[in-house]
Amino acid sequence: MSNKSNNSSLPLKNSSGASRTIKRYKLELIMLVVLIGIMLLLQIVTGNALKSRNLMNVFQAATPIIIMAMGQLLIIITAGIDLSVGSIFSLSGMVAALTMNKYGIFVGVICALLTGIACGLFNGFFVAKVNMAPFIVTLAMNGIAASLTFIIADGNSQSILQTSFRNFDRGSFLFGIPNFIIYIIIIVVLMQFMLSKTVLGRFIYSTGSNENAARLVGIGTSNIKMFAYTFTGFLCGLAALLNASYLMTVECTAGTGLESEVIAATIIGGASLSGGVGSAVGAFIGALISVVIRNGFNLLGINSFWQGTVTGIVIIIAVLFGQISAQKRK
Amino acid sequence: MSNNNNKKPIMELVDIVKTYGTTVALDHASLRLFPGEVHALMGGNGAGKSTIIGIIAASRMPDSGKIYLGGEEVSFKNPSEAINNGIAVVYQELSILPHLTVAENIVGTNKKVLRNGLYDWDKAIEIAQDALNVLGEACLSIDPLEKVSNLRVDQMQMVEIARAVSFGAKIILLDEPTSSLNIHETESLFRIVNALKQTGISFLFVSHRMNEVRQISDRVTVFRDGKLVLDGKLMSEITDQEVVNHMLGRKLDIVTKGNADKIHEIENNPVRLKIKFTDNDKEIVVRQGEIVGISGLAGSGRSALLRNIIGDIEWKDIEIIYDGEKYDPGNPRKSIKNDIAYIGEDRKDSGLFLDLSIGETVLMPNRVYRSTKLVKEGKERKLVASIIDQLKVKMASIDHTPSSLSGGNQQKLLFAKWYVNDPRVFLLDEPTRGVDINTKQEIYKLIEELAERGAAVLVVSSEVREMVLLCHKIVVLRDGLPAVTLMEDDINEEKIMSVITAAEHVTEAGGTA
Repeated sequence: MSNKSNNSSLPLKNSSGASRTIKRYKLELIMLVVLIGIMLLLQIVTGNALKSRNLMNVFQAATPIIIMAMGQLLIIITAGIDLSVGSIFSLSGMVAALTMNKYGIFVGVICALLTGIACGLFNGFFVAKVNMAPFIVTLAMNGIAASLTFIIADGNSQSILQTSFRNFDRGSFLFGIPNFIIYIIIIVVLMQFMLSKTVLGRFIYSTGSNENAARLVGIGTSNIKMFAYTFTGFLCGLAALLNASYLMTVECTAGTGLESEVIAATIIGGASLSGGVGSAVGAFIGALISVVIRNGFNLLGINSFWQGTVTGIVIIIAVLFGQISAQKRK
Repeated sequence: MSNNNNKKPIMELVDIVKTYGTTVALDHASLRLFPGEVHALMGGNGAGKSTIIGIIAASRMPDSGKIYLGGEEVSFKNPSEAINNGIAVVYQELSILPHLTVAENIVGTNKKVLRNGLYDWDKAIEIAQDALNVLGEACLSIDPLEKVSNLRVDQMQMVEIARAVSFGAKIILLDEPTSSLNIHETESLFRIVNALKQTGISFLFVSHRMNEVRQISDRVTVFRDGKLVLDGKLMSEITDQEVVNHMLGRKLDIVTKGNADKIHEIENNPVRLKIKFTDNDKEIVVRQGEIVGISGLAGSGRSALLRNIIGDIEWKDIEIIYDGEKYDPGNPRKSIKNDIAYIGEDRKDSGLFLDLSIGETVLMPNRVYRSTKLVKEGKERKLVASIIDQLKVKMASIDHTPSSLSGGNQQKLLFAKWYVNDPRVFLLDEPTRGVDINTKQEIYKLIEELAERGAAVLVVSSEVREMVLLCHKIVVLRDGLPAVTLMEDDINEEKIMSVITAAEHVTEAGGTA
């Protein structure tokens, strides 16, 4: 049907692009302020939180969480969840170490990424094609991947013998910026672009908001879920490689418990477990907040046993914020 | 019809005011309910019906005003106080516990079921059976130990009413109880209401459907924009037209389909869609510009047929000829690409992205249709705004979510979705469910415009009146297959009803019901 009347009256009023962006990313902005606030506070108290050495440590520690959170975010936006990211991380890392030591760096990298993708495909297949609950499928995958890690490594941690693999994480192919930071920037920017500027992104949100309605307007909802889980598997592989390159050794339990940190990062960043909500920038800030808090404990010399309590409280506060702003919109 | 003039009201609401922010939902509204009467509450969307139900049920608090129950002023703090004082609400979206049994649902938190502090199943079944017996024969087939999720919608509703009875309700609020029922289920609901009325229970019956209000109610109260405009008038003293005029505040010009000449003109149009049923060799033919109604009982396959055509389900063996060529339904994407538009019967479940901004709901089919890759925000916003404008959807801003809109405006959004392309076929499943008379008229006009532009329209509706108003031709389905086609003078309420009912008799005889 044509739409000749462009004298669109009420609905467009008072919404310039910039003010809209601020409105839409209000939660993310608040979280950014919180993040900067915590960092400044730590700087004032300890005097070395903002030193480049410490910042580098923070980013290094946050790298696997940020990268996996980008995948987890996709899944959570489609109203799913992935409990297996930690185990896939462990398995991919172990595969990388074992194959690399035998066949060289290139083969090792490819094998690690393929392992992640395979695990993601498994999740995606049972969630999207067989219609099983994501919680159950990924819980099973979590067990499978964790157990396979021990089996292939015979329970031992593996040192990486290819010394030049160190450059994968800490080397630099651009302006002297460490590679891991470049990876983070590329992935976060791409993800943010995909979610906010492409139609595929709109399809992902709509799948999570109302899968039935999305399917009925011709959106391939099951392919979208398949993509989300598989891509997450790939990102787990990448995160494991960066971590392995940084430590140059891989433990069977490298990723144990990481899934909860990853899920926490996306939630702190404004994603909703009921689907349809979340942003890459938010998940990025969310991951940094939890890592900065942990870093703060180290700097302040507080017993690290308190970390879980503080992170837990931060999650509750962040979700409360989200609920209040969602209610205001209605 | 009973005359209540000399009785005292069992419940009286006086000068109720309720505001939400700057919106006045109820503006000094009043309502009087007498013992043993069925009192219809009518009004357009936004008239304040839901708000007053909320206030009676104590799930919302009035800003000011008084509530009397049995002559005494009351002020309930929460819904359970209202329930304990004999007020029960059966909401449009039922609030039963699907995974529990009928007995557990009816008994609920009733203390009588406890023996030595433990749940006594025998007692629970007894209480449930007693309540079901009060409702009469329609409920006899309900087994107290059946899981509620295995029941039909109308039976679930009976379970809710039985629960109200079992809690000793004196006042039962029915919020659009017939919107998901077919004609027969509605009849049996009304029998239950009439039976309970005899025991002294009062009903507040909220409905958009004038003929049902006429059939069941003793009195009618009408709200408009939160104000009382018709105060408990006896149904015997007022005509349907007068009630409708009160609801609208003006006279309604009823849309009717074109005159006989126009219908004959349509009969010469090229055939757009031909659906052949291999099972009984009958077919449904839809011409360009033609509105064809699909009628039949709920469960006769009306909705399934539409979803079969768009390829969402595989259901009957059908062969589709579309503009002269054979067309295989693939999936919803293929149907959109081939200019077939679909509007499902449940807007919240199958149509709207309730928590995304309004534009997402409106634009999504267009994005699929055009296979666009990037979001061009400025352009899209203008497009959405102009569509919203043409359809006169009322909203504060297109950045809000559909969940903030009234039912009628939500329903219009479903049409807005298809305003961007120019679909050649429209498949509409209950296009006016749960919207007020005013919006209904607007939607009828929309549908006629679609047809006038040359689209072929298939409409499924359980409202026979709607079918009569809209359709050039009506096909009655039985067991998923076309049984009878009605044309011209046969399109009237009596004839359609009799054909639908006849279809059921045949079904029963065949033993497949």
